[in-house]
Amino acid sequence: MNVSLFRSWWSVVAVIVSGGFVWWLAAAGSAAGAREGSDVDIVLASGWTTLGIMVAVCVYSLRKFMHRLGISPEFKLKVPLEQLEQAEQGLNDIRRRVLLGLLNNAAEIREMAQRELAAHGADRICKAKVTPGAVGGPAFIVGVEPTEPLGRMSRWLHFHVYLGLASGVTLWVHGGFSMVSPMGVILNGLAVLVIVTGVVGTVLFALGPRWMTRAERDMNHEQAFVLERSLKAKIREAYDGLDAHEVKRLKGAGKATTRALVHRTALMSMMEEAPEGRQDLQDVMVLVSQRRRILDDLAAAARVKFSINVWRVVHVPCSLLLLGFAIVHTVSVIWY
Amino acid sequence: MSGAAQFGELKALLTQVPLFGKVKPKAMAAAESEVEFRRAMPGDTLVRQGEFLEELFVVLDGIATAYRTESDGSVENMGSHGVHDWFGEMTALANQPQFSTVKAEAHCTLMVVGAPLFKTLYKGGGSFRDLIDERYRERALAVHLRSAPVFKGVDRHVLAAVAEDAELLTFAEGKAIAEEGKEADAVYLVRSGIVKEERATPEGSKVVAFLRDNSSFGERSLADDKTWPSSMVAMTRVDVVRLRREVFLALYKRDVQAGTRIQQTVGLLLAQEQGQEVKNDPAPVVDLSRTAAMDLMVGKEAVKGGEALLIDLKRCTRCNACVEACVSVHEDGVPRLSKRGIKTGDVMLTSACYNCTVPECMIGCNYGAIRRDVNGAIHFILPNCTGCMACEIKCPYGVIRMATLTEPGGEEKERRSFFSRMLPFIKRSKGTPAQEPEAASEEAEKPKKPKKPDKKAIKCDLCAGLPFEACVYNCPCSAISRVDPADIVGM
Repeated sequence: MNVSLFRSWWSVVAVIVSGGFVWWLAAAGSAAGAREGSDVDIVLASGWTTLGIMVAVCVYSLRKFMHRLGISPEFKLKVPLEQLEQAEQGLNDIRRRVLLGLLNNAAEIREMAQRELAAHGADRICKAKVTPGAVGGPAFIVGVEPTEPLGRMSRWLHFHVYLGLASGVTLWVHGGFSMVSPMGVILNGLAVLVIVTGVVGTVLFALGPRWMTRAERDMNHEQAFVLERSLKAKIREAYDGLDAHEVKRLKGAGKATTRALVHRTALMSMMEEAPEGRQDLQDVMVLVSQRRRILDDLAAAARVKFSINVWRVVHVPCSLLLLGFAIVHTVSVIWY
Repeated sequence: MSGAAQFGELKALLTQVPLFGKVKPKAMAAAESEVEFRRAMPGDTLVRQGEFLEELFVVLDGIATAYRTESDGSVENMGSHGVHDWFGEMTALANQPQFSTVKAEAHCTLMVVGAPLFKTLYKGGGSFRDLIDERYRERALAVHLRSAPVFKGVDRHVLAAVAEDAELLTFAEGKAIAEEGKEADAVYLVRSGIVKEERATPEGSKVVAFLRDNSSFGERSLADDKTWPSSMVAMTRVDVVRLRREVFLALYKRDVQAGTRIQQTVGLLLAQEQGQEVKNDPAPVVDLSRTAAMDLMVGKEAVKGGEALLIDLKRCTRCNACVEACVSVHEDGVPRLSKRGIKTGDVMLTSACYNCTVPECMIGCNYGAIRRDVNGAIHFILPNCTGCMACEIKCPYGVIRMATLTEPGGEEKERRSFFSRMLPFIKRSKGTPAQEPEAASEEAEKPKKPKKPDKKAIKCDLCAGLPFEACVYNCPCSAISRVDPADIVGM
């Protein structure tokens, strides 16, 4: 199980946000979704917070697709290799001085290394990293690590998951999951669907990789795919050695060539009918059986992959609808 | 002056240098484009200690002196290079950083022999290779003893005497350095390369350990038990310093203090070998059995790798975000990452560049198209790449691929629109196969414009110049990371 999906400081933020609203509600002695007197402050605050969270968690998808399309702003930070090599040359001097024992203070070394990176414009993309060295080597290892300006996707996922959960609590404080109006039914219904599918998705993402590994057996999806392609080509070659009517019988009428190759039954009957041991038919049989097994493995892996991603079919469209309806709700409340 | 006249002068000049004296004219034909001349003023630094170089420097005029800065801060004069002398061969041959800084003492004229020519001449053998090897041995031997653990703290004058009796040997990949059961009569210090230790068991030969740079073996030849407990086999080209037992015995007699220190170190090394000493190893990244770890590190040669891209299969949801991210950072749209590689337990070392300690691709490249930068990363110099595929064949992990390039640094890829990609399906659905065999043969018969694909080698470039490693950066499940293979098993 991938527990790293759950270990995040965003869980603390989510608890603080949701706990804060629940405490406020309890302290005011109000019921969730009540709209009288001082309750209005809670309703407004929780409403705006929920909308803010919804927009923020959707930025996760924006971040993902902007990077995938190559339009993420961090692409503009690219530093030419020449500048990087010059910076590295400077770092090498620092490393040499560390090795000589001339530099002994980690903070000082880090500062010097950072200055060196800045001098060549490389501080845009990397920052100096100083770690204690191993016994017998230099006292400190001077290296660099990427700045990762927008943060890793794994942290964005934590943010998405935990704030998404917190939005469930703030939504409850805001409307008490009231289903009396059409908008209430739509918003609350969609919110429940989004949160439930999100939780299911997180659990499946934590457990799914283990199932995938089990389904893949000896080789992963990519390796199996390559092997299958290779076997397919070999089967085609093997068919060249057979008679035209045998090939026709094996392929089957009206079938696509690739699928028709896997006709074990026809092959077996042909082998039985053959007056003597036909080595060529046996070779085809072996290849077809091997390919069949690979295809079965691929299909099993695909089924597992589908099952751990099926929640998205509900989660993504519902999230978009929820955000849309939430904006409509907010505008209509302000307008009217 | 015409090019031919210039080349004639160059040939005349080279024949005066003893190093090039017996090089075949055919091999020298390449010198026209592969040799560079540099002038230096007194005090100019020609090469720096710690740099990775591939060139050979030949002094044509003047004098240059090598200085080495030791770990205690002292600077030692390593000797001078006069007219027709050379330097730089140690870095080029052993892929080790430059051992000393070389400065011009007077006005110098240097001939810089580029990597392609140097490697071609070296591989050609003959007197060129012999001279280079001989000088390499002299220099490497003198400097290596100081950094060997067994001689830790021993006076450099004592070591100078030891160096006189020491031998520097080079073993090709797969050659046995020592054989199990035979008499252990010498201590070996691994200067460069990787050695695996194999032991015969009823189930067959079993790898029990591997040794890298600056490690040593054969200390038991100085103790009571004088037989090799296992065979030592070179996994790569290996340079070792061989010190016969008698050398140590003579040293004990000559310098009691040094002898005592060596014996203490030998005792410590033997104790470590027998598991008596607790090693200060890092905690393993992944919990693997000893057998699985050894299989991964030695059997599958992961030990050669410097930085591996590791996928934790317990975390990976196979969403393909890593490959898509890799595509997005390369203008040619071809991913350098492939989710194939060495699978052990629940981890996979993917086929992304390991930036090997001993890069087989770089050693195998005859055209200077592969270089290691100052940070240790392996880069391709695409204009130098001839598409000979030597690197692809040499790479033990299959991370290098050949791709058709249209312009330097860019890979040709047919970018088809959504509709054009759908076309074969549309045709097929109308009952017309996308490509009938007959149609294909007809197409093959049509005269085509002569087109020579310009294949170049490509591999993971660590997202050079960008503030992230796209695959690691974009994995939502923290399943992919860069690690030293040795850290995986805590070695």
